Amino acid sequence: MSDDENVSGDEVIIRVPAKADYVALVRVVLAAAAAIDPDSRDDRIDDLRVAVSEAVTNAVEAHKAAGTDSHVEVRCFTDGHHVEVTVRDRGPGFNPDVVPVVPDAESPERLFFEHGLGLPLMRRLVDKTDIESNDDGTLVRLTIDTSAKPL
Amino acid sequence: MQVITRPNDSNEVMIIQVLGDLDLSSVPAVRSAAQSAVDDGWVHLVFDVQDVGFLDSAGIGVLIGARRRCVSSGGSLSLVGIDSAVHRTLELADVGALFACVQSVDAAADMVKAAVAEAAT
Repeated sequence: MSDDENVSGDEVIIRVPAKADYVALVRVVLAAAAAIDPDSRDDRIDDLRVAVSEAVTNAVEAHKAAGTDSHVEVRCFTDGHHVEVTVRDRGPGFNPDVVPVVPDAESPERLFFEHGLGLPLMRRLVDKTDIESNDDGTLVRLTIDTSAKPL
Repeated sequence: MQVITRPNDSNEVMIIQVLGDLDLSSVPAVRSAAQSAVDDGWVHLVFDVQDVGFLDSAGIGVLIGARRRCVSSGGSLSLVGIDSAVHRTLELADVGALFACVQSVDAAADMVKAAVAEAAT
């Protein structure tokens, strides 16, 4: 973790190099921050952990695609069991409304689709997913009530 | 993260044991282990994931790729020791049906023996 990390009240901010090795660091820190609330459920923290991993993984890969060495910024706002996480990258952007068509799991063709799983998975794991994306990068906002039963 | 590969005692399957998180950082090592096993003629792979506490879509992608290589070579891929959180991730990603989840390496080897015997009849 760099000196750039600031902790202020219920906000945690992390800036990490856009490298695969840092994805685990982010999800561990954010899951720990979200779990501070005594009403948080372990299964919802697990869901948040996976969703954050997906968002940060996409950011790391976006930076790789853009050839930039700038950091990925992740913010976590907690208000009791209401948690909002934002992940900002400086990648080339994408159209979040274009959902890849993936064959059914029973289809032999399904084995040819190793990618494109992250976004739909993220959306299933948290209560709300907002994505703003343009040529300057992407902002993913994940919102979850960690005291509620899993979706 | 660490990957250990070894055949089972009766040489029906190659066991690929993953210790640690199965995410973007572990994809190269796991993909390489699976590719090497198939290249060496092992078409029935058993992924021992009892020490995997975290799985995301990058990890799922490498498992799908490994299964594709096995199937295209006439083999199979099984998961052993999967925990509830990892299983939930597979289900939410809609890929649970792609993987046979078995209790032990021996059970996976028995499935392979039964499939080979059936194919021979």
